[in-house]
Amino acid sequence: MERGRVIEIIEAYGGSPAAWPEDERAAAERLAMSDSALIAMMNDARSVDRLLRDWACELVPVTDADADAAAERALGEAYRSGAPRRWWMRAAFGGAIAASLAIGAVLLSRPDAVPGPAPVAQPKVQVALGDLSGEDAQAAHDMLVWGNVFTPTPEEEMVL
Amino acid sequence: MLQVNRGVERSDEPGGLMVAVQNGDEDAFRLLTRRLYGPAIGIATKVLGDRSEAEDAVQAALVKLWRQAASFDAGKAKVETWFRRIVVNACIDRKRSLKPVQPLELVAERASDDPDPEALAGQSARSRRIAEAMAHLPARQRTAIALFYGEGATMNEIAEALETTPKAVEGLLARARVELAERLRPLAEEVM
Repeated sequence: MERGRVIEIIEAYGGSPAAWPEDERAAAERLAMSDSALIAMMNDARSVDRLLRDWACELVPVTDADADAAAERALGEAYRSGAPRRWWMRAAFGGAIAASLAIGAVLLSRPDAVPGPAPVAQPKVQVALGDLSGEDAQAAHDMLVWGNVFTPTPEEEMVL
Repeated sequence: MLQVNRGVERSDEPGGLMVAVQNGDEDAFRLLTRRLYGPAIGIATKVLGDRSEAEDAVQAALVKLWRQAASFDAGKAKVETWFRRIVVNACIDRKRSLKPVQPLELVAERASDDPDPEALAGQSARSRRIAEAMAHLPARQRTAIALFYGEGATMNEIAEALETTPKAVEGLLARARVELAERLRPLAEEVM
């Protein structure tokens, strides 16, 4: 092992050989112990280690109530911004898109979807609905005009 | 220990709870949160230097845990390791959106029956000085220090959390230590 590597190890891992990489520990320690400059470097590093350990191990008090409140907030936020994405939900989402497109294509391509007596007064899409009437026609109209078969979240819009 | 929820047996170990979470079990998510929340807040507070910022980051991480549960692969990592990575990413994202250096609040709270108020005051002053020095480090260096000294994480584990290489983590730790050694020199001499 090179002396330079021992210096790197002390700089990164600190002054305690116990914290050094296992596969290099024995050789690095042997070399360090035979070099007074490296011994001094290890001593300096150990005092910094102690301060850093104090800082890193300082307890941050947390109660079960904190955790429970965080879980509720997280679930609420997750549902506000969309339910968990499981494979069957992705599949259902893809299926809904495909079904919407298929329905739209069928409705728009029907040969009997001929304009009624007052085509100018009706929206273009309404004309294509052919002989659908009442709520069916309205729903199909809404679907085609507003695309409100579902309301995509921002993430779903990215997929679209 | 096994619990029965909606007719399905599940383990109370994090791995078992995570399987239930993957199936949309909210109770399992609550139990898992109890397991993960303390360590997550500990790391996030160290990285961000502020408890309320840490709570927000962990909150974002929990939302991600729930929403991306399907992407967890028990064969590749422990739940704790996977979630730690999410927390670290949430902290670093949050740190980027914050002002570069903020004065740190002292996060340590001691038990009210601490036997020696004078020692406590000295300890608190020292903690504050260390926290102030840490505030000057980039978030990734703080994360590396928090995981190495606080969690006893290996270079590989830190590298995984930071999505980098073990060699790069050595560099992060070395640069952090050089900077801190300079800033903490008077304190370091006191503890020698």
